[in-house]
Amino acid sequence: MKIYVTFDFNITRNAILVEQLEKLGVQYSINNGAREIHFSEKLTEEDELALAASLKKYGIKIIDDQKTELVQRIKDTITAMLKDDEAYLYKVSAYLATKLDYSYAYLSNLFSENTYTSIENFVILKKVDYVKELITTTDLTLTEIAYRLNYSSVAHLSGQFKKVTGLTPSAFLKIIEKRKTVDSNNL
Amino acid sequence: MTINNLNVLLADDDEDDRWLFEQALSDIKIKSNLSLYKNGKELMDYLKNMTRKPHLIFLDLNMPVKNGMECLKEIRQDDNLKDIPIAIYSTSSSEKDIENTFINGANIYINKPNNFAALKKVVEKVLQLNWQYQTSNLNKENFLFRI
Amino acid sequence: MDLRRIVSSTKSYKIALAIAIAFLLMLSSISYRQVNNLEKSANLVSSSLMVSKEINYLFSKFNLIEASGYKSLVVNDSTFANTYKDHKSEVETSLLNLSKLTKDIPLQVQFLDTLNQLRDSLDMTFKNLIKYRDQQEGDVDEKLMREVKKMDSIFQQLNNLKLSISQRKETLFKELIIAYKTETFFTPFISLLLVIFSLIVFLLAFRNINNAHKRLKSTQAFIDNIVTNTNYLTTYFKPIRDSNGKVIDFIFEYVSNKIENFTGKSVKEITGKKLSESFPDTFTNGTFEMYVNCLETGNSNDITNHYSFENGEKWLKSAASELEGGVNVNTIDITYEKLRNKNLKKLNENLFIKNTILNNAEVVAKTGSFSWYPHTNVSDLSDNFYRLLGCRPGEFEARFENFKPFIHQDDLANYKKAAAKVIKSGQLKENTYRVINKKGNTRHWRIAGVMIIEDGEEKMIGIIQDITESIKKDKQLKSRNRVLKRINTELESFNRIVSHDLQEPLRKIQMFISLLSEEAEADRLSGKSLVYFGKINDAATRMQMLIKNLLSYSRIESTEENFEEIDLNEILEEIEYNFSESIKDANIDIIKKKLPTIKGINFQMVQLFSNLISNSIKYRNIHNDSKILIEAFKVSKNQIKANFVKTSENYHKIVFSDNGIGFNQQNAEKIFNIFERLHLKTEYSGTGIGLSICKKIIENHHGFIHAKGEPEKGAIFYIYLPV
Repeated sequence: MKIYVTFDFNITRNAILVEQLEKLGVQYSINNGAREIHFSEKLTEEDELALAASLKKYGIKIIDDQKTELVQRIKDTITAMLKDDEAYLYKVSAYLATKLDYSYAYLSNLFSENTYTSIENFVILKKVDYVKELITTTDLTLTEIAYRLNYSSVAHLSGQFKKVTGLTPSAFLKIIEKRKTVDSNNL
Repeated sequence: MTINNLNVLLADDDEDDRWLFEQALSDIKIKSNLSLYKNGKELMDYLKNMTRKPHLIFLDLNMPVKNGMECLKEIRQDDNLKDIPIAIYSTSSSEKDIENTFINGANIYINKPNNFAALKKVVEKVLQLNWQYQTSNLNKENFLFRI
Repeated sequence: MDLRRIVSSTKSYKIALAIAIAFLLMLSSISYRQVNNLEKSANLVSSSLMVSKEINYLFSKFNLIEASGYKSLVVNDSTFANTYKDHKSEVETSLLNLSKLTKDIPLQVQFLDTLNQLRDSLDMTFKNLIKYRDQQEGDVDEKLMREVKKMDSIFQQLNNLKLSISQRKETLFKELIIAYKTETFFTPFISLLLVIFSLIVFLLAFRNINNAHKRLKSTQAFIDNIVTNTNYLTTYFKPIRDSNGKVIDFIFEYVSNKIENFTGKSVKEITGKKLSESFPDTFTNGTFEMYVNCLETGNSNDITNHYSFENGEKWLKSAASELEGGVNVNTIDITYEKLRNKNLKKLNENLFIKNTILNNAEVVAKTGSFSWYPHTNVSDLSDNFYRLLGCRPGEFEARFENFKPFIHQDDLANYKKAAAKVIKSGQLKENTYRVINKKGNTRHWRIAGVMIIEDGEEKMIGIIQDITESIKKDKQLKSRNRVLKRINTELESFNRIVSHDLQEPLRKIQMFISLLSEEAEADRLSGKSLVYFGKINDAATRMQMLIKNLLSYSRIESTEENFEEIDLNEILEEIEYNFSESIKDANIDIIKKKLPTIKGINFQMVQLFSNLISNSIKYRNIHNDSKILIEAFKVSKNQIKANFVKTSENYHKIVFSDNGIGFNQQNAEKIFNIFERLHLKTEYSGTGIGLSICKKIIENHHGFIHAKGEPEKGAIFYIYLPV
């Protein structure tokens, strides 16, 4: 037997953070979209190392570099933007600038320097990733997905999808579905 | 953790292609360490005894001794290796080949380009994509690109 | 019911009735006579009684006279004379009465005469007595005495007379009574007897007539019922004769209600009409003559004729017989039988033809047929069955024992097993076995049969076919198939070689040329070299395109299992997006109507429309605003004029038209041929495979593509895909 799961990253992340932070027995607060954790007192070195080790197991890293942190925040903001129903009212640049309180030129530069790609490219990649998610885990039709993600048409969606992934949405879905049968045959 | 140097593996029986690939990789911004293998068996032998997990494997399909498809299947069935992203790097543009590699777990399918600039572009794009999938919150299940 | 018996019995009662009436008449006359006689006798008696009474009265008067005479003599009564006078007048009256009463009776007349004489002598005596007494003479006494004596004798005589009369009367009376008695005795008896007899006769007659009537009534109902319900039309005709007594026409006296079914005319319309008026045809088709003949000779006869009535064409068969000076005709509609006979005849003819065809077919198809009754082991083999064995038809008796030697030794066991199975299951499955014909050649036979019930008896009918040739051909086909498979495999490996091994060096050439074109290297090359490398690169690119297209062409294979639902609208949008740049560059307006969803292979459909669109872009007319129109209709296969094998009832007709440079209609078929190009290589880029690929894709999808072109006006591609 097999089951398929989908999960909400934010909930998972918060749950893990709370679970691990509780272990320290120190008062804390999770702020800024789980980007920052404030402690009421300074942690001992052992505690800090233990926390870093336990969080690493879940792929959560403690970062000290402020720029890297900002890049991460840009990515998170983009992720949030895609799910924000009112985000379409803004341009990505304006949205990011407003949300992060930095000039877009600065953010864009910072992003390109650290990730080898532009914010625009990342947005597209992220968007397509979201489309992939919706295609594979929901019963939504392409038309509905295009509407939901503010594409002007299905063709536009399909075209962008094809351009980014080299595959049509239906070919992509077919492969994912066939993969499942191959996987279940291998198990 | 910041990935400063990507560990990239290429298995291709064609010496020229290996050389061209190496040239292309060295010309792009993203820093990487490339290991080259002449066929699938060499690659698999290395993977079974590896000390550092590669960030990305480029696989030619048509290889002697052990072909790319066999490697792909083996890697995907190995619990240690199955999460390594794999880019197929082949001359074949057969729809059947492409579909089959994807179904068997390939993440990227690259048709070997016929000019060097294109090769550089492709390699760079693949590394970028891989970088995003490694560092950003993207669904690796859906890591599927044809370039 | 025996009508004759009823009629004859009625007749006998009629006779009995007549006799009874005769008896009654006789009885009446006898009675009348006797009553007359009785009246006479009564009259006679009464008159005789009157006479007797009168005589008695007379004689009483005489007695009174006698008594008074004696009294006067004794008492000397002087009044005597007067008394006498009185009596005398009374006697006279009585005598007068008597004479009146007896004037018809001679005997009485004689008696009366005697009486008158006696009265006269008495009167004389009395006159003398009176005279003498008055004389008072001596001899008076004497005289008186004499006279008294005389008177005595007269009275004596009178008494004697009276006595004799009485006696006579008594005798006469007695006779009368006897006669009367005799008559009154016989008359009532006979009357009674006759009345009783008559009554019996009447009763019997009435009963019988009543019964007969009842029976007649039921018979009538029975006959009516028959007439109504029978399929026969019953008519009764009375002849119409001319002055010479020759029958010139008939009149419908009676016609049963079937007439309506037969002729469409109602009973009312027909009854009382002339035959010539109602059915003039009967005068020309021999019916009338037949009726006349029947009437004159009394012979029954029948005739069948065809009529056209208001309600249709009919074949009627009429049987006529003479009946009481008329003709009784019973007619039956035999249209159906006629038709059936006709059909039967036709069927027979067809059967004969079919049999002939079958016989020929058996020869041509190398088949034979057989029938076999499992219970009696009786078989029948067709002529060709024998021929297929190399025998003359009927050369051996159709029994298994005779057929058995022909069966191949190795197949005999199987044959028997199959036969046993047939008997058990009643079904014969197709089976093949070998026979060795008379010439000693092995032949392969296929047998198939079925169990049927014929007249309650099980029977197997079946056919055998000599399939030796087809088995030979099968073998050939199999070996050819093997060859074909090998060739296909070779082709596949050829494809693989082309796709990989041939592309590989070409790609390398291109790759290294591109390396040479990298800035650093290019700087070191002379201008000429760069031009040459450019040429090499162009050639290599072209070759690569050729190989790619060839590959696409050879990869289009029919694998229906991969067919999936494809929305062509989505396909078109995808392609439009893929081509968006060149569409923009070429400024082409693509108008898409609603397209159907078809069953097919996705990437082939993409390729099809990509090729068509790139074709249209490539061959656009640079002097015009380019347009591409794509529309689709659903059509039934009958509506498609294009000549191709249509496996589906309905097709999607997709019309793809542009206003490009078009082509000459005479090249309409050529453009789909591989490597066929209508233009100079330099003028338009292309490998000449694009449309061939389209054609192959369409054929792979069981469809059809053809094109219409007009130079400088445009091209139209018609695509038919099965619904």
